[in-house]
Amino acid sequence: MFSGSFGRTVDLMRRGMDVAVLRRNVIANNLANAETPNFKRTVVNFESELARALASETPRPPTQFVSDPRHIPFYQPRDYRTVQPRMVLDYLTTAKNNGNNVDVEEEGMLAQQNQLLYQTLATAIGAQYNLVNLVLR
Amino acid sequence: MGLFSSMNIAATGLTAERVRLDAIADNIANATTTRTTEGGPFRRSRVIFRPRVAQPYWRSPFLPQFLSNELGRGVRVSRVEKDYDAKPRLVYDPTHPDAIQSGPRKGYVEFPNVNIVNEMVDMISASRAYEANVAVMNGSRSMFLRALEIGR
Amino acid sequence: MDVQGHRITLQTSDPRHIAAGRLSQAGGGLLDTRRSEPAATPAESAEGSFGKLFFQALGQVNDQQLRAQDLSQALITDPESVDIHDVTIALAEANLSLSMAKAVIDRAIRAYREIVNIR
Repeated sequence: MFSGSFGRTVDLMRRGMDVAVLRRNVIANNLANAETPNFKRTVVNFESELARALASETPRPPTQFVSDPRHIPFYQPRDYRTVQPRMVLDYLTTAKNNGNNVDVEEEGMLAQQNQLLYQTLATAIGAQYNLVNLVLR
Repeated sequence: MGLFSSMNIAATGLTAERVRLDAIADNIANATTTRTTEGGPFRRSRVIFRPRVAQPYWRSPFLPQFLSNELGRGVRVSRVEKDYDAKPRLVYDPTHPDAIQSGPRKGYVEFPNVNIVNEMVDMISASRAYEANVAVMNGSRSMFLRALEIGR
Repeated sequence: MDVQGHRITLQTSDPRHIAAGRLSQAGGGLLDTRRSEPAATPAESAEGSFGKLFFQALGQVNDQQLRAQDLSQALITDPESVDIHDVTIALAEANLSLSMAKAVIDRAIRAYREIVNIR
């Protein structure tokens, strides 16, 4: 809606909230399968990729010199809006005796953190819109 | 530090105490097991904890541990090992199918070296530590929620 | 050389020498040069015009808003580097500074209208 830094911040936080909802479902699935033999937990990868896409927007030195514009440039800036959350199967951590690698305490902690992050983002977005309301009245 | 650092640390404590409780439960359940697949009587398991450091690799070996003033990251279970130090208990019972057949200890049965009283006390301490970690997590969560109400 | 607790300022013969003021802590930590230097308080620049003062203050309000946005963005991209109370305090400060600026602007416009309508 708004362009510039305000719209960008609100858009980023909204994407963070979307991913938080997805992560909640993934954690609920992990917890429900905590006793299933040979079940491996899934994790959602989003924030690190988003951070990398945002960091690629500022060109890093040394600035490239390409002799012909048809060459592929070194640093392609990546639009952060194309970053999608990925669900990755975590088969690397140690498994229990029945092949299950779900750690109930860790999933519970991730669920709590997710919930707190969602609340924080909601508060922050509300505060950003309140700033606009301040000026309108 | 970070947003959820204290919760992460408390969660590592919870996981470690649960592993310890599992080992204690295993010991108590097998307190009178006289034969295992390895041959001898059951040996009690012991869980070894190590602190989790922030940078597990690339630390200078010349810097002593107590000079680094950064916070740790919690606890991790280093290994679960069998306790071969204590000798098994010997009980004289020639009619037992696992009695020693020949030698100077003929007729004796080897029972595991599990002391039930020690295991019960360890279980109490593990559950108290679990509760303490849960209290830490609740405390940090309520701190977080209070911080969200600033400026509301 | 001036030693004051943990702060050691080195005396250099030429201002072009390195560490003429930048290495001011015994721990060797560099000053945080990312934030811009805070502008002079109104008491010190009494000879500046009201307009200059006003735009300086508006720049500070803008800096505060940008800082709040940076911290909110860091919630998602880099949660390890930010504390929750920093974020909420920055948001509250942004809110407060913007509403104070709005009140000042309203009063200024009203005063201008009064003066214009005197005749």
